[in-house]
Amino acid sequence: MLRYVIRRLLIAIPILLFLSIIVFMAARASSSPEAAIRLNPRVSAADIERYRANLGLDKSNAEQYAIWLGNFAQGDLGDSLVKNRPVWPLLKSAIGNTLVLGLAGISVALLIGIAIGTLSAIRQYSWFDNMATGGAFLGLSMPQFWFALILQLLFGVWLIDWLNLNRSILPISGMKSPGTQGFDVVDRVRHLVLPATVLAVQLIAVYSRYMRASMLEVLHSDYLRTARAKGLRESRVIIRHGVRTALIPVTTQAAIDLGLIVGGLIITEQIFQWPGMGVLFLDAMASGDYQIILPWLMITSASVILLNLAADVLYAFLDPRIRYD
Amino acid sequence: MRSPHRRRLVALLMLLGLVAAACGSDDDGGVSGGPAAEGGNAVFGAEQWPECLNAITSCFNASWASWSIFQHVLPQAMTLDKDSNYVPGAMLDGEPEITSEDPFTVTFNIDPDAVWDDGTAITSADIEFTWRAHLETEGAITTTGYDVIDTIDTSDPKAAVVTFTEIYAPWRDLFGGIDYVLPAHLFESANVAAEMNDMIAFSGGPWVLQSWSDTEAVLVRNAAYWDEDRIPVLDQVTFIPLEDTDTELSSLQSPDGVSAIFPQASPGIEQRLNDPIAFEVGAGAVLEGLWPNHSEPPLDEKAVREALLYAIDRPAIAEAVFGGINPGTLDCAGWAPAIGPWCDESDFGDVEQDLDLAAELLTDAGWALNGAGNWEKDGTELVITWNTVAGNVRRETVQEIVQEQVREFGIQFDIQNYDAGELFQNRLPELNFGMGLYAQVGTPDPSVTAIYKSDQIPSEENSKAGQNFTAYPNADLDAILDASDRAADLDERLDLINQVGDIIREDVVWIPLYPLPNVTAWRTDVLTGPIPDFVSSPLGGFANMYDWGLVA
Repeated sequence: MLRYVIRRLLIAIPILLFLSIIVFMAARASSSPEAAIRLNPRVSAADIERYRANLGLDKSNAEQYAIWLGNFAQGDLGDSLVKNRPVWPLLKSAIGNTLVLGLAGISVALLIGIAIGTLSAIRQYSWFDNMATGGAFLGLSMPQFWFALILQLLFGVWLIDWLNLNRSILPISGMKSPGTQGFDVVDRVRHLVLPATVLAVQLIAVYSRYMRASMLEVLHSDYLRTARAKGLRESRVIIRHGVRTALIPVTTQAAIDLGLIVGGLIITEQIFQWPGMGVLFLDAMASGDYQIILPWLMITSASVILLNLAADVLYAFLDPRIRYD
Repeated sequence: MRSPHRRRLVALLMLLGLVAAACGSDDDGGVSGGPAAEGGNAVFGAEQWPECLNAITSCFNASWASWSIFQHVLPQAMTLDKDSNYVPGAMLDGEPEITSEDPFTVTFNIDPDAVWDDGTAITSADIEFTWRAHLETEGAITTTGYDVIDTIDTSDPKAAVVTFTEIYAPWRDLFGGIDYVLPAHLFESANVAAEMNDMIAFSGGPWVLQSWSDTEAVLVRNAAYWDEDRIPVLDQVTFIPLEDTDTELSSLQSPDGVSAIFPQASPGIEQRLNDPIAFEVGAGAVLEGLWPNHSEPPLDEKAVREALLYAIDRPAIAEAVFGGINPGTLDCAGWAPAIGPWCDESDFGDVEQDLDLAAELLTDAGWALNGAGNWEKDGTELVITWNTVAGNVRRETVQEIVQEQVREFGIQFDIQNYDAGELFQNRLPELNFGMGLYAQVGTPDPSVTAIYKSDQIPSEENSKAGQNFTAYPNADLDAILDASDRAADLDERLDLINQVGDIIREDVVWIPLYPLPNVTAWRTDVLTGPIPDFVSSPLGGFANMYDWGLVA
């Protein structure tokens, strides 16, 4: 197992380097910090030249990339080309915000998805199973951006009109109420509900389907028959022996999803103004700020690689039949 | 015992409890203004969020940095009134005086009561420091204007005597206009590159920036502010980023969301701005039009450019694109109609769609209709390569409308749209385009030298950094542009600017379509006051928020 892990980690390094080159070239080709000032009539040609030189944009792309890579290897992420601020605090804040949203969404999705999947399997072809199946397809096919906007309208406008309220039941944007001082847990949780719901809905659909399929396989297995034959209560058979085994694919899927989420939930964050990795990436890409884009890429790629690896290791740990060596 | 009914009842009670928590009085909204309560807090939406807060470096290029922060906390020598005329800012004691023509010298007299929020007087030293900051700061966004200042005499703390090396007509845009003054006593060095990037911890304006982050900016009333006409009614204003238009509109519609926004005016936006929301539309300072590349055929021919001008219906384009928020057609040659006296609508005001005239112009230039009904000359059909930003709905709509308008006339278009970076960073500087559809920013100062002068055509000499993307060379125009930048007398300058406009029209250097509309929208059940007064101003819709109050 250790050799397997080390091998996976070593393979990841050239992959990350290759990705960074591709993304750097894409960022430089698509936009540049100087593009924003080129149409400002107060800015002269000499000003633009000086600006480019100050940011190192007058160097060749290869040189710019090499400088960035050299600094990155020494742990220096440098300053944002556009924000004039160190990159790491920006990334750290964005990662934290995305993880809060991501973990909240995944946690809720796991709880509900596992419960629905388990019940669906136990009561296969019942009305509950049929409803859950239909709901899952709805959740999977519903565009996230549409659902997010509908929730905003529902809680920000429609419910207020229908119920003649003077404030919304749940806030429709931001991480906290504007102007509030300190850390108000209740306020933060209220702001988390809608974006986490958007994230969770699709995940619930996925996890419930995984769990249902996995439970159906387990329910008819020999060892559960043995457990029943031993006289164990049905609930203990299901939960202690069945669910535990059936959870394996779901938990590994959740680990993979968490890795993907670190890259930012671009649509959800943009709509709900959640200052996470997705919004940071969008802003940086629009302005060609590769000083942010490249570390962003490194972090998100590394988290996908590491969490995929963690999922594989977890899978082997949970299921002794799995061996990688 | 199972009790599904009990579980359902509990769920219903929980839902009712949530609803009850949000219920309040039976306010039916719809109140339109009224007297203002004293004090209170308001929350406004910002459609773009400043990357940073340094008023000298690239942060300054972002309009929202000025609209949401700078103009509320930083003093200005000259500012703009609601009609975008230059007027003395609060820190000045009357109009600046041109005290000498040779050398060109302007004296800024400072209000004796003007102070920073720490009580330190605003003095001529602050103006002198601001000058040096523009020149010495690494990464300063522009030195234009500041680099022609020779000296600033600060012997009198309340009079800054600014001597220039040459006559500089746009002097009102220095230390003011859309520029600001910094406090000399709070910086150790004039290189302020590392300062103010995430906070402005001082104020010479009606507000003090209490906090700023990527998620909100909180401004509170400046207790030390001396100008009684601009002392804020509100105690506190919070700006929050709402970069998604739908979110912005939903937040305004929600009674506990934002109470005012200054959104990008997209067609149909007015349909979501219903009572108790009010809105005002004004012509903005961003001017959009067709920019032909004069260095490439067929638009190197004046006849072709002029024929295109008469072949299209510009008012119909503006109406089709903007509908209920139509700002009108742009009829002057490069100035915002709502800013100062510079926009001479006689430039293009007489132009109406006239296909017969367009045909005559082409025929006289040797073009003729071929069997396919397309214009042709020397075996080459008239095909205009047309470039704009891919995915920009407004501009792509214009392309569709124009193609439809001239379909029968016989001008063909080869549409090639690009990503914004590719268009503005690569193609325009390389003059590798046919005709661009994009916007230019109009400024309070009328100088258009940067976009029309011959030496501003992108070339090796200026490292492709010039902004005259039409590649229009005209030595006579160059001379007038230079003269206009040196005309300190406003009437003389107006005459020269009008001459510039005449030449632009005569040679059809570009075809103006419309100024982009600005919209100020606010909740009338929350806010009252002269809220829409600055809707057309380059200072943005929140410029006079010191006069806004909560409905009593």
